[in-house]
Amino acid sequence: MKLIIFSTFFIYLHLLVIAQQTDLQKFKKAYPKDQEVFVIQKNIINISIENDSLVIEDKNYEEQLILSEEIKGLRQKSIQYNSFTKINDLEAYTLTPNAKGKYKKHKVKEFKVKDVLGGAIFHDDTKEINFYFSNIEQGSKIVHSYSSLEKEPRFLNGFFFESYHPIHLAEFIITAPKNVTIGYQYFNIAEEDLTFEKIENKGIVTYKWTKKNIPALKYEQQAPNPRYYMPHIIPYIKDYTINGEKKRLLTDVTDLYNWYYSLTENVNQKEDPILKSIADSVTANATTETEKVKNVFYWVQDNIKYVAFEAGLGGFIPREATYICEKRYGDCKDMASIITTMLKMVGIKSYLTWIGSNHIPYNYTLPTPAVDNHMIATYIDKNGKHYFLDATGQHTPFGYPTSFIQGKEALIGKRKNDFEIAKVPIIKHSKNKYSDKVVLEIVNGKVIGTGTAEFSGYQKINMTQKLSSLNEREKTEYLNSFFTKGHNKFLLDSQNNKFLNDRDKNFVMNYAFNIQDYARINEDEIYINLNLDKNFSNDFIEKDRENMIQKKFHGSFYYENTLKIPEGYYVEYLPENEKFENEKFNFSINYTSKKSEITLISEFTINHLLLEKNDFENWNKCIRLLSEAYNDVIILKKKTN
Amino acid sequence: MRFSPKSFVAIFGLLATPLFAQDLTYKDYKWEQKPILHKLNKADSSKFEIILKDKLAIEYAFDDATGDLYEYKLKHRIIRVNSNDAIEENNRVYLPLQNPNNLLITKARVIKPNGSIQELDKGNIQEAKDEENERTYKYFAFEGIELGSEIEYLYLIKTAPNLAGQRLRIQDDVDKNDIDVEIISPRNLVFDAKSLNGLKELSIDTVSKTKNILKLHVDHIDNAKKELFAVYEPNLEQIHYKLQYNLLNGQKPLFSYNDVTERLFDMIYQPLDDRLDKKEKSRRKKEKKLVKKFIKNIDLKNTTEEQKIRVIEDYIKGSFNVVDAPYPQLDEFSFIFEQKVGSEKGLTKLFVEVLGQLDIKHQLVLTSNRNAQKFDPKFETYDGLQKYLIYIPSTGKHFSPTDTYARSEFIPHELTHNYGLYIEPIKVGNVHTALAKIKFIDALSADATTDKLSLDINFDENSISKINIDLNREINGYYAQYYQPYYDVIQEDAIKEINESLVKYIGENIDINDVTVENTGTKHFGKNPLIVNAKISSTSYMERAGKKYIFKIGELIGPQAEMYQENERKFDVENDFNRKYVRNLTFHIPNNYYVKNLDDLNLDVFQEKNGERTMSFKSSYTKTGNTVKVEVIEYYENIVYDLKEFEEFRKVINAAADFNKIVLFLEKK
Repeated sequence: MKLIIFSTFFIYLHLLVIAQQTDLQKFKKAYPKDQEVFVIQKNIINISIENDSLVIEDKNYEEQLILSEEIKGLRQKSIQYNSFTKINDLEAYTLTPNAKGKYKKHKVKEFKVKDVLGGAIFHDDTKEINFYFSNIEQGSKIVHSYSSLEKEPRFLNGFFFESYHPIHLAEFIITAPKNVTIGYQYFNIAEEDLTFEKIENKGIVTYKWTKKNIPALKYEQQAPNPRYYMPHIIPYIKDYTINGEKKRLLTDVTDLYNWYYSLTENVNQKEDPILKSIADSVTANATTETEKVKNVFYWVQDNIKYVAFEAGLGGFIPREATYICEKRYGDCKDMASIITTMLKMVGIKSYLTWIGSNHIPYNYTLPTPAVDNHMIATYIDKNGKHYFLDATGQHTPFGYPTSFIQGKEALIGKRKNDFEIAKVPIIKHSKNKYSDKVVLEIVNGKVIGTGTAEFSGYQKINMTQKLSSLNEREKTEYLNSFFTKGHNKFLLDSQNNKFLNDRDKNFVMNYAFNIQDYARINEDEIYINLNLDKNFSNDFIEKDRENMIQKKFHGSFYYENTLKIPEGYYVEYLPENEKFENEKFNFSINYTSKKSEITLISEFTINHLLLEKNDFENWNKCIRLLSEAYNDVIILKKKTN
Repeated sequence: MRFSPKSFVAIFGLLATPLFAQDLTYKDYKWEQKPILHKLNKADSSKFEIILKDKLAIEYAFDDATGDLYEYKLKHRIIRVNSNDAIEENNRVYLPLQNPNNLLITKARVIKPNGSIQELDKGNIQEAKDEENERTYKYFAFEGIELGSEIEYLYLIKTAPNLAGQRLRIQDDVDKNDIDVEIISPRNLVFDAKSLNGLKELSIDTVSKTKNILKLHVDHIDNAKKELFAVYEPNLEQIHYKLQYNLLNGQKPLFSYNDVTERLFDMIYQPLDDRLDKKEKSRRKKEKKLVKKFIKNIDLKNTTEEQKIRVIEDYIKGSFNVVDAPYPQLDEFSFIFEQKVGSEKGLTKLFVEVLGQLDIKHQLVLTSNRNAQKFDPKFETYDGLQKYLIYIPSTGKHFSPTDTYARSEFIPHELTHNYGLYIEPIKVGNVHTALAKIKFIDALSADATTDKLSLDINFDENSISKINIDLNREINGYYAQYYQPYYDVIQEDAIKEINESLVKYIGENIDINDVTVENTGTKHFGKNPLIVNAKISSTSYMERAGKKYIFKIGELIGPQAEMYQENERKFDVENDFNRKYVRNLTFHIPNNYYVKNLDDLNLDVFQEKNGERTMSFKSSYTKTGNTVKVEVIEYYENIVYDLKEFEEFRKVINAAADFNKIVLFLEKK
């Protein structure tokens, strides 16, 4: 049955190639702004049952037409796969039109395989097939197709109805015997925006989604992962029935969990005396259970370096805690493994926990491995408070999750058949605060000052990460540029700081500085702008922006700038106060004047992780108001006798 | 360009004779059996990272079995890691290999602060294959690293020999102690080495009777960090070396510029020499015929020689793309014409063939990217022969045959202000041959690369806080190269973005009401300036102080680079290219207002040599009625200002940044 489907597929494509030989004009007209178009992007997943097990074949076909005359010659293409997939029947060619408008076929003959190396993952099993299309010119079509055999039925590929070039026809098809139950979920698109049909014929069910004339994806900075906004479908196999027996695969999250559990249940069965002695010694002085957990967490952060391994199911199975301890490195799973093991050694329960980072917009109502890409450990104290322990964040304080899992669902594996789904909290802006209090004087026309800056939460982590990689000279340069106030003649004269590496305390820096040419003297008047850090003043969002903006954390930026009024001067003009309030972001600027000094308190708060399109107008209003308020200057005037 | 090291082995008769086959010096190299942590002085122990041992030995030796010459590289390094970042920087090692069997020794271990030792489990050495580049990588992560550990590794790798010139960079971005370098070779192969940037010269080891050994020991080398307006790699302490003699062939120096000229000439010009075999001769003839046909497509009517060259350049670069892929067909005209792509070598061949057939006198030039390494005019090696240029004696100008976005004399600037090998084809009787000369490739003058900005600034009738500006910008030379060619290849969305960026370089906070850009496209580059006209407005250039206004006119030239804090300068100033900025800012003082500090607009900072300014920042103004015209001219006429001129350079750079801070006070009359 399956074979018949394939051959029809190819006959159909073949006809298409001949019939569309004079396509250039037509497509140029339809996509006048684009340099290339995907004439067809097509993916067929054929599911069958052979010898009582599922067989999944994934066929891809892509046909791209070159519209621009600037594109010519060769083009490299690569196809990535890993040990769960076997690539078959890879075919690639260019169809280049000749003077008579007929296509000449130039087949790709050389395909070279490469192990993918480098990047964030130290060792994995990803391979890449590279090849070059040749004879490309305006009007050429570059075509490739291949099928792949998916060895793990839980990893069905999703399909995206959008790409970096427009797609003329996108087609996604799944065929399966009717005793295989298929689930699928839509993201960023509704079923009615697609043409969908489900046909049953001779015991085979075909699901087919098509969409035509899809404009090119717009690439924008600061946008979250494309999965947040690109229309796509994720299919999965809920269950299948063989010989009257129903086998659940991914009906719901229970099945997903049971599978994950089966992969991890045999790990860490033996107790290692060396690790036990470490666990004992790091918790020896702790008085409470929570403190013990903290000590273990900090020990792992400090002693296990992040080195990621993802080969085969090894990408899902944490390694033995003993091994990790001996090597002193591991990836996220390994860190979760050693934390839970060490805690168990000192009599504390904690759990391996699956979670998706903020690159992934899904939750566990989608019961597939696409939801998570990360593992942490979870400890629940006697009051039910959850601690999400992610030791991959080297500077993360105990009690904070890593910033990139905030707000995500955590799948906490308690024991066989027992799990909990909990939401990781989003840390409040007040706990991620940057506060900077400055006292200024004007001495002989030059501004000199002292300041105290304090960083908490994720703002502190950012600073720790940055500063700990710098030597003394670089540190001074970096701090000078970070703290620059007024304008770039700001000079840090001295600084001392504390608690950079103490995860439980805020980072505090005391400093002294001077800024030449900042106060402007005009005969008997001094003009000075107390908005020394015009933070956010350039952060307007482009009017035609489409995609949401992702932030790493909620945060607060607090400035308190006090100016000592020079002897013999009085305040001639004090700027107006200003504020903007909104649940996702707000600011306030407040001046107060005392006899001998003026204080400006300015605070900007970010209360969101995602800024969506309907927030943009308000955001720009806020920034407009803010930057205007930033332009208001104090006048000090000499007293006349 | 690439030379295949193997071909040299054959050419220079370096094949083995049993006489010289002998054991590798470091075949059984061992590290300390019972290592202990180094005792460090206080300064060293407070560094996040310090290299405590760095031994590099490169040995050239014949393989007993095959008789081929190989290069064996031994590296042995110990690093103390005192911070988490240092651990993460150093906890992995990647070794690229031509063949997985070429890694003869690999050892790695960690010596922990408590003195215990953890050696790498060999089973954890990973392997990755890359069929395309025919490479295998072996890589591993150190096991058991703790803060304060010493990481130690050593390996011995066999590769094809590189004899024609290579550089060993000894200085690093971290401090190093106990540095040893050795270059070892059989008796008949005599190497010559030159130390650069203050590094001690290598000495000849006279102890060995069977091998030549050049060696160097240094107790300590300070780290070197990148600096603004400076190149990095060429400034590092390093060794440049090559094979100088093969005593079996007598005292003739090897790898001379004269020798390579002949080879290059044959390779690029493909002369129809009588010495060629029949097949090769007919292949070359066919190739030349193809070019003859190709030339007919180029419209060269009514052009001067200089125009002809530009037409040819536009035509060839418009027809073919350059690719860097490991396929020799990319060098052949038949392939290039059919596939519309060629290698750098293939396109250079095409240019010289076209020029030759059109009888346009020219020379082929090879040089190096001066940001990576300077071409050495005296120490003759082939590692500086990386990039092709073509020189036209009649105009005194060069052009780049390979850079898709370069045109006319605007060759890649990293190839200017550097020496190059000039190869002039000549005909002696019936024999085609070539003359070699080493010459300096001068950088273009500042006038060739100019950025002219004219702003006509009006204070808004409704609110003086707002200014409305008619902007005109004309960009030439290397600055235009950042933009003009890209208009040919980008999509419409991106065009809008580039247009706006051409305006927004004066500041982010402006509203663009209208922008038009003329002379876009490669065909204008090097001929006509890119012209930007825009109507913009902004409220960010005016601060309010009660009823007074502070006009931040200085910010309207856009944010300027500054070196207010740059200290401890180590390297010479080295610029990418000479350049000039002209800014004309005209504004109209509103009725009922006056400005009394106009004189603050005057700045004049410069360096003068022999009565001429080599760099300068000068601003001045004139006032006619209510209209004030400010003229700001800044230029840099030298690529290099040496270390003792640094202060002067800094002052000129900072003058521009100082101008940014100039404000005018607008007060009611």
